[in-house]
Amino acid sequence: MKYVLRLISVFLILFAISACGPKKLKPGEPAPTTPPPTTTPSQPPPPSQPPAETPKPQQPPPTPAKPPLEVPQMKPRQPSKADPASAKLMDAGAKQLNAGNLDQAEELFEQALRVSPTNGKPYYYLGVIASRQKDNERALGFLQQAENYLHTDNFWMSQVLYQEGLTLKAMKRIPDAKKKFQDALDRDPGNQYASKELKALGIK
Amino acid sequence: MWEAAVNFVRMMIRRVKHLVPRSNGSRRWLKALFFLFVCVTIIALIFTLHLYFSCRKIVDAHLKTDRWSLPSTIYADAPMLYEGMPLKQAWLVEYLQRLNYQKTDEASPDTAQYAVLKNGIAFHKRALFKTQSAIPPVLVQFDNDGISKIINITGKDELAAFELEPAVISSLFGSEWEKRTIIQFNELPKHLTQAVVAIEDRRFYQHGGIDFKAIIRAVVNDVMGRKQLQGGSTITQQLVKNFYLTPARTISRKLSEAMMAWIMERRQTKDEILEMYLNEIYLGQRGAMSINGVGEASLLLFRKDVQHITVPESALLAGLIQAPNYYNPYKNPAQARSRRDTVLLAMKNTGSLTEEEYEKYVKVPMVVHPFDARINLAPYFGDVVKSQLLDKYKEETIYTQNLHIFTTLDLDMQRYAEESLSKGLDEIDKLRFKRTKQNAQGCLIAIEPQTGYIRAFIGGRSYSKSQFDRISSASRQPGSVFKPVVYATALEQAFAQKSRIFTPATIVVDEPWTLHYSNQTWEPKNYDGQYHGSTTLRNALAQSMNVATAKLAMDVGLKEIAGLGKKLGFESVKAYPSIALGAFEVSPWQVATAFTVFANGGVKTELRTVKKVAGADGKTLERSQIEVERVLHPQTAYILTDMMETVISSGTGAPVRRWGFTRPAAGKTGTTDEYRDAWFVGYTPNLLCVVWTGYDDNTPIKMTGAQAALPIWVQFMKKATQNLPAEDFSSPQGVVVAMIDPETGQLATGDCPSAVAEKFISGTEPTQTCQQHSSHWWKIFG
Repeated sequence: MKYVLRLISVFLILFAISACGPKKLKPGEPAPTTPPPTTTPSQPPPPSQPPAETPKPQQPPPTPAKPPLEVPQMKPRQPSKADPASAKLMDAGAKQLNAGNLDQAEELFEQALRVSPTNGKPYYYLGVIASRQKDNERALGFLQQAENYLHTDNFWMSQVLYQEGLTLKAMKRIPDAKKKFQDALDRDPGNQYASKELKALGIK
Repeated sequence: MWEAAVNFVRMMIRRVKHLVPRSNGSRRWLKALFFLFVCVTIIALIFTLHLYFSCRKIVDAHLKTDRWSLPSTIYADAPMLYEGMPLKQAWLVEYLQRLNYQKTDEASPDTAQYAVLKNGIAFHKRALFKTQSAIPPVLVQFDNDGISKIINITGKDELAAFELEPAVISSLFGSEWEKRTIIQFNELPKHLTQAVVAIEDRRFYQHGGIDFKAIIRAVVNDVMGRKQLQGGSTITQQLVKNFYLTPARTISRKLSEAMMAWIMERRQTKDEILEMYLNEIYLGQRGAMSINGVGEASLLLFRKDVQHITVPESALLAGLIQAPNYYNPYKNPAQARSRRDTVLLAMKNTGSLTEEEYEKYVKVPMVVHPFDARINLAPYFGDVVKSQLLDKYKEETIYTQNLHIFTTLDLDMQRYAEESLSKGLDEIDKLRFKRTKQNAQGCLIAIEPQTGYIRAFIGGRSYSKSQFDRISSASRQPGSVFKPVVYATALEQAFAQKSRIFTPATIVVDEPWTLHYSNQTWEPKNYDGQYHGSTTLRNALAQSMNVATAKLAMDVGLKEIAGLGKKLGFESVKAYPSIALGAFEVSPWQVATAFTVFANGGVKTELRTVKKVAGADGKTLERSQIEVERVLHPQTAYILTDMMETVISSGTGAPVRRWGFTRPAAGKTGTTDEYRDAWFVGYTPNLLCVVWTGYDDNTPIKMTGAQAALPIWVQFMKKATQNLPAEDFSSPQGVVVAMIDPETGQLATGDCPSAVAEKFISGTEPTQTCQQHSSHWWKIFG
């Protein structure tokens, strides 16, 4: 009995030590004894997200199945003040493009880029122009840039992926093209052009 | 011809002698004289006809072709105004003033004028080409954030964007360094033509090219020793002399001049002759460049388009014609003033000015704009442009055909770059000159990564002392500036189905290490001599750890690193261990090209200097395109950028923040063996800048990249980004964030002493929770 009591007291001491152990941290919060965090000061969790759990002093011992800490979300491109002006230039460029004036259209899309270099849409149009000029590698370069900035917009991403599919098809890279058309359809099930291309390539 | 004529005269004299009788009969004398007269008349007629036809050939040929060989002009990029642009009103006013726009109170200004109104700045852009359709005046309205509206004053409609007139950087001269701005007669102010006619040729509109009255008056004045207000040569004679003849004072030259003047008067109207004259005349020097024509002289002296000059300014210009250097208002202001007043007097005497006007204008002080001898605002850049043009055009075309070369250079940024580099190198000299006995050198190139536009380009400390362009021609070791390529190769393994995946959280051990490679040993050391033990790749890059990077390079594969290096534009990179630390030679141009890939989501953009080349008539001859090539996965580029943000937030580039640059930025310092080169490369989402400092003869600069190059970068970027929208780096799809324990690189639990959010290419994030800091219970029972 004496040994049982001693064992219980040791158990209780260990429990107490464990409860007073290292504090849990919020994401990105530095530990008091370590250097400041090396990443993402500009990426706090979104306000809608519940804060990470904080330890309670009398919390029972952690369970082995404890999950990793909650993480902040990736931040996509934020709209720029230059976007409306860029959009107007793109409208003018699109008119030239539809009229078949590729040089004038390219000039206007470049102007749209100058106004807002991180807007993805001018890259898409420049990709379309390069593709029409049969400059496929260049087209793919522009379309990758478009993807980088437009990936949160399903409609535009579907257009970009479809255009990538067309370019890859022109390059005889049929499996890659199929994948792009399928991705375009996944992004926007209403993209009939992608659907037609897939059908033409023998995919239901 | 001349000899034949002389022989003919001799023969005639012999015949006359033969005719003269020994008996001296008067009738025979008369006969002889008549014969002589006929001969002389025939000779004179032959001479005149010969002179006429030869002069007519010259004049007609000249009038059919381009009258002047005009150098090509290099323009800076025209700033684009747009709604929402974070631009101050003062900037726009300063820009327009720099381009010689004149202030007016009119709400709808005339060409090359601006007005500061209550609701903004109104201005009327100049057309660069005569064929260009009319450009309407615009009103730019501002609010606290910048431009709120751009309104077409004529059409009353709103414009999304408006491109300003581009500023001139320099001209491309051949052997003749003549600068001339061609002005049409209807652009010349009436008082200028009146002033010139009054002082140079009062009877210009009365005579037929030769003014016999003026010649007689000049001869009489000369004989009597009187001061002459005007010479005997008419404006037409002066013009043909300048166009076709030498200044030699010979009778044959004078006869040719008179004949050509007479022919010219029959080919051209008086106004056309005056227009040619005012475009042709030499009016002084600006450094090595001669100033020809009133258009160019007006820009130099008054910073005004000639149509906007005042009456006293017209008088000053007209007065210069007689002796441009003697009446130079910068060198001899008293003589210039006196001459100006003489012209005003002549204008009064010819009725161009009333007595009251004369009295008013003669009291106006003579004011000229401070002399600016700089004729090339970006000489290193100009050389690059010229060499690129010479690949496509003949020298003669470039030097004489008045091409208009529109480039990507931003003149504001160029100025900031010059100031920052100059100041930074002066600071280095303060520390190092006593030991090295030479001035430090440096270069700076700034690029818009999305388009490859070169925005600023300074190839050295002083173009006048050294024309060697260190950006495109220097071969220097990149040192740690190459390390991001090693890390990019490592991150790319995630897409290459390799057995080992690297992430920013991968642990690498920074410790003393010796590599045995191809019967050689290599023992890299950290610059500070310290070793940091186990650390993440993110921290190894942030602190620029040599040993950790060298070990990573061996794990990743030297061939893979060299392969990526080549794709990025490092032509001389080869697969040997020390490339990990940048022990090979590159040019700053190559470094800039490579970093566009990281800044641009994995897409490489070729650096561009020229956007468009147009002919003298404005017709586009060539338009360069944005050249892009996919080199890295966007996720790799983004994560690498994020890692280089850490370099600036808490690594070797941390002084960037201490020096006050607060925008989101990524960068890398670089220091080579024995501190021979100091680099800093950094970028925001819309501007990338490379700075190199060192000595041309490879003397160690004994400073790190953070000490020597980084302050220059910060000084430049603070100013260069002030008119750009503040943006953060945006993530592509396929990047996830996980909380990790930085000691282990595993998923952090609540028991880890610290946890940081780390970014991963989707699928490469760690799946195992931290084993090192698990709870005591987990250790006991887990």
